[in-house]
Amino acid sequence: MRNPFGSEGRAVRFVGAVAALAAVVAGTDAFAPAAAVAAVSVLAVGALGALYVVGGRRPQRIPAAPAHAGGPAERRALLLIGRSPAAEYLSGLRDDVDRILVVSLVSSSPVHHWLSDIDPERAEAHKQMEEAVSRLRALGIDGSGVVGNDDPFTAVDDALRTFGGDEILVATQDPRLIDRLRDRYAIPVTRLTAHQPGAALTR
Amino acid sequence: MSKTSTSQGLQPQPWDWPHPRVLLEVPPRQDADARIDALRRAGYAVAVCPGPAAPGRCPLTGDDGCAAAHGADIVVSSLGLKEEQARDALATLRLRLPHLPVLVETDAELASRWPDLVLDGTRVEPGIAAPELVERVKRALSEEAIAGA
Repeated sequence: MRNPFGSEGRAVRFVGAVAALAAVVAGTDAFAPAAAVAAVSVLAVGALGALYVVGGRRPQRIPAAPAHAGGPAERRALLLIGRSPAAEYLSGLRDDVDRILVVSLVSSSPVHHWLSDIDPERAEAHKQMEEAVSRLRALGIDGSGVVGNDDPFTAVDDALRTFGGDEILVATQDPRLIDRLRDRYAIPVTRLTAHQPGAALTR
Repeated sequence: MSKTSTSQGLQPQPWDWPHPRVLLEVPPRQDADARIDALRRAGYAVAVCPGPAAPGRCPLTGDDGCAAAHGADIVVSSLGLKEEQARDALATLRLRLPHLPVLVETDAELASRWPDLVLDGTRVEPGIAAPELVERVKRALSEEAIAGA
């Protein structure tokens, strides 16, 4: 599961802050009227919220990518898919990609994410992944697949470490994902467009 | 070949990859895909920095430094020497990381005007082709390894 604080250190500091503020509220409760306790509680919750927002910011990055994996001339691509049926995007794939790893992203609601109750979403992602891999193989492409971490960047990091990748193909409808991927990875990121054979790859 | 990172906590944090690391500094909007691809196929992890956006904005010139530079095995700078902020960044790189190999892409005239920034053997001609750049990177790292042995 993704650590929303980005590191264990930040998470520990957040827990420490919760304990300290709880102590402050308890101390206020012992010596002050209810209105003051309420005010301190509101301030404490606000402070924790601000700490969470600041602590949850991911470290700034510049685009980077691992060394090429596979044979010297081999071209590998990651194919990111979401909830949309990936088959709609695959008819116009270029033929210069030798191997594709389908990374099926788990789209969970914030509530499910926080409750770690994402089994239904992972099952759906697995189903989408299997369908995409079947479709790739039917097209004669050497395809395999994984269900990614619920954080898309961790999912891509994991895939690049294990499979490599010279390009990232994106078959999701999240418009911000493409820009964020380009900000983070020093390899081409290409959007796949549904139902446009021959023009299915756009930059 | 990769150095142990001394960059915990520094910003930005680009390096997730356990390969020899090349920090490629290229101006914004310059197409570096061919160079990146050639370096990656030669076995290097690559990070791409667009250089300082404004004077004093390069994290390397700040108190903490820049993890991208601190964690790199070699820097290839295509920022040139015309802009003062590019020269400042290069000077800071030389000062803070004196043993880090740096290849500077610039012409001979500018190199002669800034001899402290473009040391012997660290200059490459502008527009160098990707395969030749890979050879220069290999040679620079090899020379660094010999010097450090």
